Amino acid sequence: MSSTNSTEPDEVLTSVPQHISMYNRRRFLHAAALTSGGLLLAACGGSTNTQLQPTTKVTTVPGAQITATMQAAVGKTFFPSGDPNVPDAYTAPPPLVQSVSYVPGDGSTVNALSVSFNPPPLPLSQNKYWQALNKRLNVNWQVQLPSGNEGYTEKAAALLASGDLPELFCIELFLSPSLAPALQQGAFTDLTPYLSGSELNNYPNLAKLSPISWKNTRFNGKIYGVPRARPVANGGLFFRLDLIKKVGMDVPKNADEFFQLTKAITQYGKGQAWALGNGGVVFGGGSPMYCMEMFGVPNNWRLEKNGTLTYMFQTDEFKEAMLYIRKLYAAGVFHPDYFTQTLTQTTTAFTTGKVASYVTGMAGLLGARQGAKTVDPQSDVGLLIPAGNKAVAWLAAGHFGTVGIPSQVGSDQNRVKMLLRILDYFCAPRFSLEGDFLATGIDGWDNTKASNGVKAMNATGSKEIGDLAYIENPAPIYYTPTEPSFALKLQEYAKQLQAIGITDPTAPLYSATATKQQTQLNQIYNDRFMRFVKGEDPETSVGGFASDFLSNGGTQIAKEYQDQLQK
Amino acid sequence: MVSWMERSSFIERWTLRVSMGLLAVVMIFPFVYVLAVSFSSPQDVSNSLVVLPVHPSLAAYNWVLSQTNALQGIEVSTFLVIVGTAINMLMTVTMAYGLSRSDVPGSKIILWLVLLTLLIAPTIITKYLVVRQLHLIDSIWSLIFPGAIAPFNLIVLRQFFMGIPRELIESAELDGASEFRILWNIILPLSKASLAVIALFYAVAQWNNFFDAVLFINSPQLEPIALVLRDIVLQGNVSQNNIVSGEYMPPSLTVQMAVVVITTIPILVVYPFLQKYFTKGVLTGSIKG
Repeated sequence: MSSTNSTEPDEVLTSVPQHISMYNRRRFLHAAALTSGGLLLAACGGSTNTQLQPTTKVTTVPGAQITATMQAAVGKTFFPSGDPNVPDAYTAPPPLVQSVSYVPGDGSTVNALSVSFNPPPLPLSQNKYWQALNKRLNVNWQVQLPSGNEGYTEKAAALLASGDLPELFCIELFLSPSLAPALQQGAFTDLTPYLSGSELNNYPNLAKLSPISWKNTRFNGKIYGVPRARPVANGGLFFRLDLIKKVGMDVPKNADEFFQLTKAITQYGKGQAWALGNGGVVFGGGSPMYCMEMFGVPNNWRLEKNGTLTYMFQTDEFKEAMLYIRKLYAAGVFHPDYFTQTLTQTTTAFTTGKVASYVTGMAGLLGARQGAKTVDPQSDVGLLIPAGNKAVAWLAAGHFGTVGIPSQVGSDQNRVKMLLRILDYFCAPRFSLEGDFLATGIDGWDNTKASNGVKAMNATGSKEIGDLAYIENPAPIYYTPTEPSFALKLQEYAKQLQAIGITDPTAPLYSATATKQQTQLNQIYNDRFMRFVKGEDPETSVGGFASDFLSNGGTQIAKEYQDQLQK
Repeated sequence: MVSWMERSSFIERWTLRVSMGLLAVVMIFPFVYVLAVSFSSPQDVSNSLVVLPVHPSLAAYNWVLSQTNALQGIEVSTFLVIVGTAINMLMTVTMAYGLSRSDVPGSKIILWLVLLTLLIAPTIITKYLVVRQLHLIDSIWSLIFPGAIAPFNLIVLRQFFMGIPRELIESAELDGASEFRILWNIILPLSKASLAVIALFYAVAQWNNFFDAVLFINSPQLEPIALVLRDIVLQGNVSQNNIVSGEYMPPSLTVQMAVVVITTIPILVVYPFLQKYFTKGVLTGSIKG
């Protein structure tokens, strides 16, 4: 798959990060073609394209040495997963390579909307990292960072209604459903011509994002944004594994054993600690999600052999799971404030040992583990894989939204390409020169090198870096410098979840009715869920979940999805 | 002797004391809890109810002051309170005085327009569009000018000004005083209590204002303290990006409570000095004579 019109094939190929080739020949050839294409773009330019300025070629460790190092590191500090949907794991950083060969920007100001889960960074005038980022990108990077999901929802709605959209707009349909009609009505540029087929080779780092991320972020079959890639096995039940040993039991292999375990742990807590905590949501998350996975409940929808869709509430597995959750609640293993706890309260309760488990994204597992250790150094936090012969794992869609370009900008092709080059820079692999800067900042200023050579962000870095570059992320890997061996544990968990994983067949589809009814349906589910689990409704009312869904738009939603699947 | 002049019985007095005491505990407890949690260590918050931390710690305050932009937020909020309140008072006083004079042409129409804004509140989108057209997006003035006159405060002040005897104003006019002189030398000195309470209303509103900042402010350095607090609460967990090997991360709940305390302290410090004006002035306009 080498480039057929290259004038300098050998020189081009030797500049490719060759350590990739050692574990996957196909990935190496793919990367070679992409990088050579990128360099060709830099060399040739084009009559209708802006002439790109090549970046300074940084002298890194010679390619042959990188190859030898990575070859020797396989199984020692570098653990390729062998599965495109499971991230590779690193227990030590490999030699850095240069992944961007041209200067992305054109010196102009670029406005962007992202979402932030960290304190805001220092202002530009006081922020050396930001100034260095502007220099590397060759733009004046101005990003709005609304706080948390709620902050993003408010800001996105206000910007959308005002028509004053930043040039790079983080599109989170789940948080801001009003963006879906905007996409339908052409508020964002169709990027399919820029990011499909051989055109994607112009952005080598974007091309490294997993196919499932690209597939699940299409809207009506078109690409309206660059995916913000995440692992598909992205969440689960965090559990205090040390408590399993303290109560003299083993990791549960089925629902009955899980029930006995939760009772034993709650009894061990003697009224001060409980087995199951919330994850900040009443339904659709939290410990009930784990229970539903144990009983094989579909991941939202199940595509039947005859092409029809069945919603999770309509299945026998769901009814069994709900009766089981009701049994758990009656046994007293839920935290008393389960239905009202926020995520912060649950996290604090977990850290301080008031609950033994809760469900959230795997990105927080290391933090939860280390937080628990500050209170109880003997604690051991890990993930419980859904147990039982019917057990499944609900795989995520492989992304957390996309980054789109408003249609006002779309008419200027050069501007669109420049913006995509900026996103390409932000997607630089973690162990590239660019990715290392984005993650750890300026050496010696934002990060400190430990005696073993491993860099870690310091207090200055945490104030300067924040979420400035969070708008886009590279293909995920597992690397946990504060506990290196834990990266392997994360990879192992991801493999186990992937092995029993099921996807939502409607993930890449859009239903106008689902968007319109989402809030109302969530409220109906939450109310019915609370009443059923607490025992206020009889067991025979478990069928009410399905009838509520169908009578509040569910039938129409199923039809809309099925029509798209049949196309 | 009428019944209300008679001394209450022992039971009546103690029933009143106990019930008022319980009410006081119920009202004070949330503040005590917030203060206690803000000074708590992880071991303390592992108990469901913290009243007095057994292992007090300043870790949450250290983290808030060093890792967040809380101090900057306090600076911004202080600017808003001082400058914003001054602009609020200037515009409200002058407009209230003008509308209190029945001989001003068009005063009734203007008053109705003001009342209309009280009855029909702007939506988020219309407010955003107006501020954007004024080129005030991401400017500190977007938090001051759009709300420079609060209709309720304007009406309260107008009502008070209308209560000042007309003869005082006429005698000043006869002596050749200008309108500004009358306002400054006669009206304002007689209105101190009302002015103090209106100023307090504005100052507290400026200090607590976060929603306008959510909409109009993009730059972190312009975020007022209320928005910083909201950010920390919404972000849920203390940032994992801040993990530096060996650095202690306080529990999220203690961090949030620490920010609540930092945000509340200035109001608690200032309020006792304005309390007498507040109590006197809150009835302004509601009692004739």
